[in-house]
Amino acid sequence: MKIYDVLIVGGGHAGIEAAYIASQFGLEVAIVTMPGVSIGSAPCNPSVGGVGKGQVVRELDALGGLMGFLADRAGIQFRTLNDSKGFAVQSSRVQIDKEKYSLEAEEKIQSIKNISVIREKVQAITKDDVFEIVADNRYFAKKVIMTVGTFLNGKLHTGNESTTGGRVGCDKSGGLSDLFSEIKTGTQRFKTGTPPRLDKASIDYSRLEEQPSDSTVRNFHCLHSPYSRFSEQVSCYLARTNQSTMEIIRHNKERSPMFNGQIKGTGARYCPSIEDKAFRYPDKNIHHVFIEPEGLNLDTVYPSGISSSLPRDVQEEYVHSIEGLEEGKILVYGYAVEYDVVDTTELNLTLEHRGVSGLFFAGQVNGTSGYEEAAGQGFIAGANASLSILGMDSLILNRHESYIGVMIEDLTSNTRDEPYRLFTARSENRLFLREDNTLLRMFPYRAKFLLNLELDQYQARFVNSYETLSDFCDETMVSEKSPLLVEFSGDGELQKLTKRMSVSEILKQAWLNPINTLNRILGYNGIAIDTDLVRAVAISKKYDGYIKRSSDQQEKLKKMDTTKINWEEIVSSGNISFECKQRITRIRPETFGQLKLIEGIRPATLAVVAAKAL
Amino acid sequence: MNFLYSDGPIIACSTGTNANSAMAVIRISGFKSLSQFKDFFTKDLTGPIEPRKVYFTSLVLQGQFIDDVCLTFFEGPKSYNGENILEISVHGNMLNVERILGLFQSYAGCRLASAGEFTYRALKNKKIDLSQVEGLDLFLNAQSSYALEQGLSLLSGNLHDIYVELYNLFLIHKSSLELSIDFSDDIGEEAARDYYLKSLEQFSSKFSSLVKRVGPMGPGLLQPEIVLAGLPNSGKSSFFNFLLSEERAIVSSTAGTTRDYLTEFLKIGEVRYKLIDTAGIRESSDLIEAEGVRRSKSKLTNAFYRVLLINPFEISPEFDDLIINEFDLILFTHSDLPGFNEVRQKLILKHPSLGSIGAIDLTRISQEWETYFFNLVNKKYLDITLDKPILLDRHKGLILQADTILMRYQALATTEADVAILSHELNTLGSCISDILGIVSPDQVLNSIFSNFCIGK
Repeated sequence: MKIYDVLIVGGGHAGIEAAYIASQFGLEVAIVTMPGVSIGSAPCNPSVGGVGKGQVVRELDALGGLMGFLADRAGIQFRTLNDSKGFAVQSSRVQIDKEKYSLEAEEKIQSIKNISVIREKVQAITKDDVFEIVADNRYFAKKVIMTVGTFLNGKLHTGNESTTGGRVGCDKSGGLSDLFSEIKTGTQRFKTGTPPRLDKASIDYSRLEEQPSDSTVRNFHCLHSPYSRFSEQVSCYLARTNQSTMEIIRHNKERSPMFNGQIKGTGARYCPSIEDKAFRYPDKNIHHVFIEPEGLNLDTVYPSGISSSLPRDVQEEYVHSIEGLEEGKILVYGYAVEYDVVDTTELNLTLEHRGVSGLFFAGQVNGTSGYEEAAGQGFIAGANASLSILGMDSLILNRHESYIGVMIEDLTSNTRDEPYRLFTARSENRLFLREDNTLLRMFPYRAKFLLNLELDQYQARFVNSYETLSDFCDETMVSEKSPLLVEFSGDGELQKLTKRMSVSEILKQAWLNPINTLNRILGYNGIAIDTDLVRAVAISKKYDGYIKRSSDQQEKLKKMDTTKINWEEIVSSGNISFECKQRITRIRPETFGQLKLIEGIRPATLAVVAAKAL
Repeated sequence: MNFLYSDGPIIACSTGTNANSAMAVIRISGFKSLSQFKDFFTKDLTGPIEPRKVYFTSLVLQGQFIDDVCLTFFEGPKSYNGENILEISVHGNMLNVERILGLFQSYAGCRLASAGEFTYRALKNKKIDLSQVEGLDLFLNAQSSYALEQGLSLLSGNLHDIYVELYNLFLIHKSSLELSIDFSDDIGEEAARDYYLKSLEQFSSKFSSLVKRVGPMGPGLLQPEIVLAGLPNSGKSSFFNFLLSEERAIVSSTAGTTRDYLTEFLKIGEVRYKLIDTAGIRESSDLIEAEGVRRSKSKLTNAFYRVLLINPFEISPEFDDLIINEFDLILFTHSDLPGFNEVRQKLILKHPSLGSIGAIDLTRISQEWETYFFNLVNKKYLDITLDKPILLDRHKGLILQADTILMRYQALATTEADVAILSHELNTLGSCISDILGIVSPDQVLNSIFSNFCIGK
């Protein structure tokens, strides 16, 4: 009887990350996935990255994840979002060729000897000493990671037609309790939707605003040559809804499953369908619609912004009311999918289920939206399943150091009433959680894996060189006689640089672009350095003061927040209200920070715990 | 305020226990079910008891009659502090009240409430916010009808609404900034900038009307004080006694009789003033007197109305220090002594600022003069309260602090392109604003984004 170390149910973005990191530890890994569903497929928007999410993809990449690698390979349009708004909030986004993305994923996974891909539908999972997974055949595993996406009791809606399934053209799986007798299914159901897909030849692009690919966006994968592209680059186009579009939708309210009671699940407020927008903002008729290519060889484009579960004839009508889409031909109709989600407060910070040890949950089944969020969780679950087999310390990313850490802590410390998506606003430390310094933020975590792969060697060199260049900036003084100071002076009276100062101080000046400035100083001294390094050092110097200021404030909080607490002891003490005890027992916080995040926890309880624990 | 002990039921007499009265109201808060008190009343508490309805019943202990009482049940969370509250109206004899309080402590698991604990629980259960707690305090302890009014205004009225509205405007502005970071693609760059500027304008115009209401710091209006200052033997105590029409301060002609300051309450118009007779300002070798002098000086700076009394016949070097302070009224005393006009004239020549002031003769002070003085004080009070100044120092401090930050932020908003830096600055403003109400919640920003703006894929 073969026992896999880690068996993953589901081959989506979470599943393949879990498998990939587990394989790096040399463990025996299996992915069990529905027949007919391809690995790493992108059933919704054809893009990877975005504000906050670009950081997640780079964090994953630095930790040894797969998403950045695949996105670069399949990338057909690159953009930096928030380009003009300062370095801290800039994020990369890549439009991907869906077909190619999936093929690259298949190829990469197949090439790894210790990952087996099993295409069977899982019927039941039981646990004795090890897990037994019943599909067409029986499999055994030490750890199981559930990355089942929207397939748990999946139900699809278009107008008044509803069918079962995890996504269009795919089978659904049973409820969680059908698979797992030990776990009671959460009562919560979420809803997500996707827009109709249009024939790319039926659109009048001349009437839309073009957004070409940006060649200055750095690839995600750190071992890829920074600016080389692996696919032909194409453009996206911007269209806009108008009054008649929105009126068509408003006239058909009673035919929308979202508003006539057919859909029971809760959708995210930040990912609203076009019906949501029509009824929630009755005064606003102009909404952006991005026309995004789904692939170089695919006929479809994805009109981002008009997801809908309205009947087909209404979808036809409103699409045609949009300028440039008058002749637009719908190839796949929009639909909404409803599915069961797991109560993530039942998971600990490693994403392991508290009730069933060795069982992990990651991805959309945890009530998140987005490929990046799914991948981030898949990695955390995969890494921790592996680390626990190897008897090593768990991987828990601090929320002050990574967006993935923010997400995991948010997920495990509260139940949500809508799908969770990462925003930069969810972080308290946005100035530090940037794309340019990702390697530095993640290196200490990756180093603890004690692996010595090409990635690890590259990162060690990078961090080493970073420190050298950073010291150079602090220690090198530019004399008051240097012509550079005149060059760097601004126009204002207070912007004249006349005193001897260090390179770091120069980089802090508000009117200077720190990257160009550092490049100029290095060039002036005849030094040529890797662009990634210059960027990371220059931006870090610029924000140094701000980060120090907020980290001083945060230092105390962080110390308090990371302090381990014993929830069982807290619950058994007499000083805490019944209601607080109930909440604490449900969430089982491991740190003071998590305790604080629990909704409805009383200040008095915090005071009692703080007085004891800190 | 930190209530670190158990959240169990608390009991207190809400009408005070210092005097006998016809009736007293005892309140119990935070119990799980009425039925736990079933043994103490002849009315069956296990049966249906309608909330907010008065029941007449007998209070008993082990079958023995204690008192005839009226019961009213306020069911949580629809009660003052969100908890179950039982109000028991009993006969207001102090001994009776104490006996009943004791009974519930010994036999029903209640604990005597600490000062403010009922309200603290209301705060904790988010029934009211911090500024409302302060309003309640202001209301219950008001010394003037204006303070009473502002207490009410904070508790449930206009001022509280202004704070809440300001906070909401702040959230909208903050979310417009977050919107331009996280969702600018969805709504478009131009629209995002538009939201940003418009919401900043709305916030700052609301805020500037609030800043105008911030008067000088110090207890000034909250507990208005009339301070009598002067060198030793300038007649402060005589004047103090005259205003109070009683021999409160010890009057003697030996300088330095009043070693510390004396206070009494004096009602003028609708305001209850604290009248303070300070120790004479004099460099003293007597340690106790020196301390008294130091306190007198600090009393002067906080006072609402400052009166300087001058005996022109006894001017010591400290006089120069004393008259640096601002005074509302300056009185010359000892006008009955020969040569008064000459010494007075000489003093005014030396200190021209004393010029335009009349003199009074304390031996012949009249009822008309008292009315005149009261009118002066009352007029000042009415003038100041006309602009509805904010009374609480904590609020004044936070508003002024927010004002400084807002000015810096507004300058930055037009020059700084780095949104993360703007947002960093805005957070410091936000903590001031939310401190006024005593609320802190990061999720509110995201909620505000979704309720005010239109975004999505």
